[in-house]
Amino acid sequence: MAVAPVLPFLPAHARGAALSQEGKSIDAVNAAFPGAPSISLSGRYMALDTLWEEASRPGWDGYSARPVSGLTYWKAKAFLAALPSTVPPPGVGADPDGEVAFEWYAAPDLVFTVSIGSSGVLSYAGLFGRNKIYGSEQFLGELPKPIAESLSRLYSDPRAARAAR
Amino acid sequence: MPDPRKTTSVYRIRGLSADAIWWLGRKRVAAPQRKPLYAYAGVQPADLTRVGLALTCDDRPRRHAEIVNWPDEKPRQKILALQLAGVAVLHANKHPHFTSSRPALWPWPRADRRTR
Repeated sequence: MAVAPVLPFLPAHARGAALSQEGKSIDAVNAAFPGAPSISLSGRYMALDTLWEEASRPGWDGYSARPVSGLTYWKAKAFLAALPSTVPPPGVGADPDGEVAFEWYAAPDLVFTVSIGSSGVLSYAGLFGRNKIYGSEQFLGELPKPIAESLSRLYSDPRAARAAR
Repeated sequence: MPDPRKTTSVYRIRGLSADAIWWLGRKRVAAPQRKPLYAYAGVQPADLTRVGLALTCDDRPRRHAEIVNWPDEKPRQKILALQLAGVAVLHANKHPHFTSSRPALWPWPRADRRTR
C-alpha cells in the first residue's frame, strides 16, 4: 500500500519580514504582484489532479511518454504549496519524460516555466524579452531563490501584470 | 519537449490545405489518444536550425518527421522549447469535436490507372 509522504508545512509568509534569502526573494515576488491571494490552494491542486488522472499511464501522449508517477505528483503538489499566494496560478502540464511542468505565460517572449520530477530537481527556463534564463535547483520545500527571482522579474513587467488581471 | 528518446514527433504540412491539415491531425494525433484536437502549432525548419535542432523525415506514416538534436540537459531543452513556441504560429480548431471524412483534395499524386 502506497503511503503519501508527509509534506512540509509552510507557514503563511509575512510581507517584509523575511530573514532568509529565499524569504527575501518571496518578498520580491509579493511586491511585484500585490493584492489579495489569487486563488486558494485547493484551486491550484485541481489542475494538478486532473493532469495526473490523464498522464499517469505510459504513452499518455499517444507515443512513448513516460507516466507521471505518484512521487512526482506529490513533489509537484509540494511545489505548488511553496508558491506565494499572490502569484497567479500557473498552467499545469506534463512533459514526455514524466515530469510535471508549470508555466506562467504573458507573451511569446515573456514566459517562465518550471518542471519537477520524482528526484525533486526543479528544471526551469524563462524568456524575458531578449533575455533568457535556464537552470536547475533542488527543491527542499521552499521556493529556491532563482525561481522566486524569475517570478518577480516576470510580474514586474507591465505586460505580465496586465495578462494576470 | 522531446520524448525519452530525445526526439519530438511532428508532421510536415507544407503544401496541404487547411482541411487536410486538420484531417491529418485528427487521424494521426488526436484519434490514437481518443481526444479532441483543439489546435496545432506550425514552425519553419529554419526556426529549428536557428536553435540548433534538426528535422529528420521518415515518412512512417506519410509526412511524419522527428525533431532531433535536443540537448541532454532538461533546462536547455526547456529554453529551446520556449524559443520555438515563441515563433510558432498557433491555429485553433473552431470545431474540435467534429470529425469529418477524408478531404476530397489530397496533395499526393496518385498513379493513373490505365483501363483496358
